[in-house]
Amino acid sequence: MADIQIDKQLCDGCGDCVKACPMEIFLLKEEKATAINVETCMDCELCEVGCPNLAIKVTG
Amino acid sequence: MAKISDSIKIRNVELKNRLYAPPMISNIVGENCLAGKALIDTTYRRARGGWGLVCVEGAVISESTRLFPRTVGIFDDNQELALFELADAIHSGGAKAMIQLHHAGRQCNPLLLPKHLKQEAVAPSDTTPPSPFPPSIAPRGLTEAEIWAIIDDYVNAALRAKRAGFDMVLVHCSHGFLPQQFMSPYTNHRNDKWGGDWEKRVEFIRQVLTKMREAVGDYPICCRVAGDEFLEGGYTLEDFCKYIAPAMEQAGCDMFDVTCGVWEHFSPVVPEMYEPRGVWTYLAEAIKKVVNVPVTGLGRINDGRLAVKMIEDGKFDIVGIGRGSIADSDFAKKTIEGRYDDIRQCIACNTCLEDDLSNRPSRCAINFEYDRDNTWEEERMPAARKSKNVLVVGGGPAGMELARVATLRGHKVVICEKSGKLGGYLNVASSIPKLYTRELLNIVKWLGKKMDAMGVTVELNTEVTLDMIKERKPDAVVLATGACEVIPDIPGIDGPNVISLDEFLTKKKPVGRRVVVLGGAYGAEAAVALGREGKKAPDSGYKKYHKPAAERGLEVADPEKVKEVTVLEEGNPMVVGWSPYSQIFRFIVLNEFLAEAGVKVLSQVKVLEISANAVKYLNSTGQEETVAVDTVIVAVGRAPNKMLYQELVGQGIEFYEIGDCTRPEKVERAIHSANHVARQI
Repeated sequence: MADIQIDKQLCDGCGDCVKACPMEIFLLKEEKATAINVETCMDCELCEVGCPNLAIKVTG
Repeated sequence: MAKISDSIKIRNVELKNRLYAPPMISNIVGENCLAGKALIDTTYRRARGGWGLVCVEGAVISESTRLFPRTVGIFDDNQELALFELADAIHSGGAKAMIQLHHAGRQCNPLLLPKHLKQEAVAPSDTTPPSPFPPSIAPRGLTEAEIWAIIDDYVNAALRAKRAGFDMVLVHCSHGFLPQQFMSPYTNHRNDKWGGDWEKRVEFIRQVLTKMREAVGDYPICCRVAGDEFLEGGYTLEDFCKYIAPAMEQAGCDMFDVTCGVWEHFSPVVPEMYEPRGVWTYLAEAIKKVVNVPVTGLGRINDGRLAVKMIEDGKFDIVGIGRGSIADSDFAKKTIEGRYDDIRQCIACNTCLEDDLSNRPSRCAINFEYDRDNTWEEERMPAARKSKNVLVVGGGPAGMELARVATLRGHKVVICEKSGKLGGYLNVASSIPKLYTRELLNIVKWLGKKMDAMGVTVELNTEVTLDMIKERKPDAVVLATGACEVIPDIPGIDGPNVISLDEFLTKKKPVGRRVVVLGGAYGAEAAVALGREGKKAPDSGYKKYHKPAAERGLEVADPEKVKEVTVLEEGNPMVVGWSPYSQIFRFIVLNEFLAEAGVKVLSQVKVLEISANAVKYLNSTGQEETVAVDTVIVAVGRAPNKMLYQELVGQGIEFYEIGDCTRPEKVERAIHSANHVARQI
């Protein structure tokens, strides 16, 4: 299963990952991206490529 | 909550699950429009992959229409036997059989028509714009009598499909073919019974469905529709939901298979890898809300998890996996069994379609078996007469695929990879910032897992030399050493402000504000990535195509990061360049992206000299000009890596060459050459 790491310091809460993820894994909580239900992640890495602040890293 | 493994009824036919393999042109039918062994075998191979419904590609309903040179025909009673074979193949595989009825209208290529017919394309009106496909011959408007004759053709085709044993028919009303040409104000300029307002523009499909129903009775008639045309002057999703969908349902359409687009823009019809997964599913979701019959959704769904989610969320009833079913015939079976990581995911390279348009058999870049007869199936491969120790030099896609197939045949394979990771050049090509090419890694991940599972020995950080080969004494050596970058001989090319494309992508070398990319055909992705720097992300297709071209520029978000990018390209126009995935489609889309990102593209230029802050070149008219620059990225191409080959020649060692080290080519070449050699060793 994929592991999604979000650097809360780099994240500015723009919400691009929320829009990008086809599996609707991300949510904005207190203006920071949070990954919920990671178990559905299909490892497409759209969030990682789309993040303008390089705050997301998908490994798996 | 519906599950993907649930059955579903289309009129009176029950599908065993919600997975559907939609029609895609294979271009392997004989000139006489009769399906041959290759198509029947490849259809059977797909049908036994666990699909609920399998559809046979665009069968032409009349002799006088043809877009692709070799398509299935359903216009003559003598063709029923070949059609029966296809339906039988699908039923033997355990799926329900459907056939797509197709009339190209204005998109017909008159040059392909039989010589005894008039070489012309027909359309609703004389003023209908010509086909977006070359040779783009202006069509002729249909007369009232001709329209009724075409409706008769549709009805007779449906009767033949029923007699041949198909469970249902699919009327092709999307991708800009004839029924859609009648629906759309862009192509239908008539002012009579068949055009003028929405009510009259849907009259054609209404008559087709009504007459067909009278003839076939209680038999499912499905329609493949375009939810949105993404075209100025065409219809939108709102128009479709309001005027077209209800009329079609009323006339007896039993299922809506929702696609989108016309061939004026390629990317809606066959979304390439730059588009997100599941990109057009929102259209099916919207249409599902206005009709009461089953709806299928599709659009770059290449992961089983996404397919399952779409159905469980109730977005639509059936999920269509087009190119995904080409890349892995067993997609459906593996999805239902939950073996998502075992699926060989489509990389959306569009090689299959590029082959169609180039009049070659439509082959899959990563699935060697597709579109071939069953003698090529892995299950039928003969075991090796003698199990050999095979040394593969290079762990790119070619090397890994060879290791996989050779191991299946009983050889013992060792892969030696110079770098610290498997994947070869695809690791570089998939790492473009701000442009989604990550799909290319699908095949690397899949093959990597197979290497582990099959017990192939992988030695990373191991460079193979001639001495090493002599010491290990393998029975056969396979060179998959790939290609290396070409650095042209230009004064100043070794300056500190010059970096190569690989250095930019893999080592992330810093780039100044003013950038020149040398070589647009090969460096276009990098130019797009740099052009997008400091700007807001571009709209996805659907928002973009409803904007006039002039307003498609990107909004600046961070002025400090914005780069001034210039592409200097020797060729003209920079249409076909080398790339590991696609050629035609890549360039149609990348040229749009370059314009949108504000990248300056200069073609037909010759670079003379690079200095510390400028590049001097001859422009297309032969005058000398300079462009100010902080960083130059060299991207002129790649050349085969032949070092070990030259040493091995004449040493009396059995060796083969596969992939880029013969000639830098697409992933397709790597995988296919690996398969040929692996079957030969």
